[in-house]
Amino acid sequence: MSLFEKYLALGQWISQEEQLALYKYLSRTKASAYRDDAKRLLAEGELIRQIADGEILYRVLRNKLIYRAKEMNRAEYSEVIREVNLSRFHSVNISKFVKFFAQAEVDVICNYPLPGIDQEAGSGFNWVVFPCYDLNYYSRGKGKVKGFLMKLRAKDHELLQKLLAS
Amino acid sequence: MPITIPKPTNLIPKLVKAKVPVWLVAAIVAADVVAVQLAQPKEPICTLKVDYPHHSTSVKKYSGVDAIKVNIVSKCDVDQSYTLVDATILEKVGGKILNHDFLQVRANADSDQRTKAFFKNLWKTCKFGSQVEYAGKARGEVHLVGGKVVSVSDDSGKYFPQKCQITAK
Repeated sequence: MSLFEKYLALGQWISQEEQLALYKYLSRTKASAYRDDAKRLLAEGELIRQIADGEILYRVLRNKLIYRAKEMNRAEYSEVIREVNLSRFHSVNISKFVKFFAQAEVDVICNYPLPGIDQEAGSGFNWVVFPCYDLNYYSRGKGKVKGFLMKLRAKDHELLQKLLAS
Repeated sequence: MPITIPKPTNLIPKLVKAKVPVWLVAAIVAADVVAVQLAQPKEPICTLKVDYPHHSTSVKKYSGVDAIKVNIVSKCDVDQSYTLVDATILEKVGGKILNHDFLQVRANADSDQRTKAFFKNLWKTCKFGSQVEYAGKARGEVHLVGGKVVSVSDDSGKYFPQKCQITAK
């Protein structure tokens, strides 16, 4: 079992710091697949993907990209978990889609893990309000300028190196 | 012939003029107050429960790392949509208090207990060995079904010692 496969089963045992490492790992290693998905989603308006024990429904609605999620054995999707405004420029949108897909997959990995490891009580979907691609993530909501400076100083979690090396 | 029952407050001046006993006037006023209160919609009550931060055997078992974890639950007497929380683990070291903040988290209502929302993934790695005291605090807001928002906050109370130090890692 690879290290990434191990993390697909951890769910709530993934810390907030590790979630950022997972996001960066997915953004880098699945960028090509995400770009293909972005083009398909822009053409068709809807896309479904699975990861861990969850399913993600992506939709482009007017000028927004949204995602909803569900556990594999459930019938109904959640309400909209995250949304991002789209740009007029195609290349900017592709970049946004890549980041959005990576974030959605991290959210679902944390909430709908593969079976095998006990999860504590509580089934409500949990997520960090500011996504990893938002500079407010680094400033904890205190603005993008501060977030940019904090991001420059931030060091990668050791998990990222371990995932990339595995 | 229909009988019209006058509002209690309209009766008071007339009763006073008619030299009605004081106790009767007081009883009518009290009944009026109770009637007004019963007609008001009941305010929802929500609480946040922050458990004391602890060296988690579960994180060690499943993630393989030593960590200080804090459990948080929001609970209301009506159904909620979700709760937003800003949480902190406070570490008391050498007379100083160090804050270990978590990123703001949203937890949707539990699917089986719609009045509650449980927060997960709130832990920080630590270095096992040194005894350090910890407390937890959090504040946030509960968004109820229907749109009402209730502010909540809690702290774990006094500091509890744990044999693992976050700042030592």
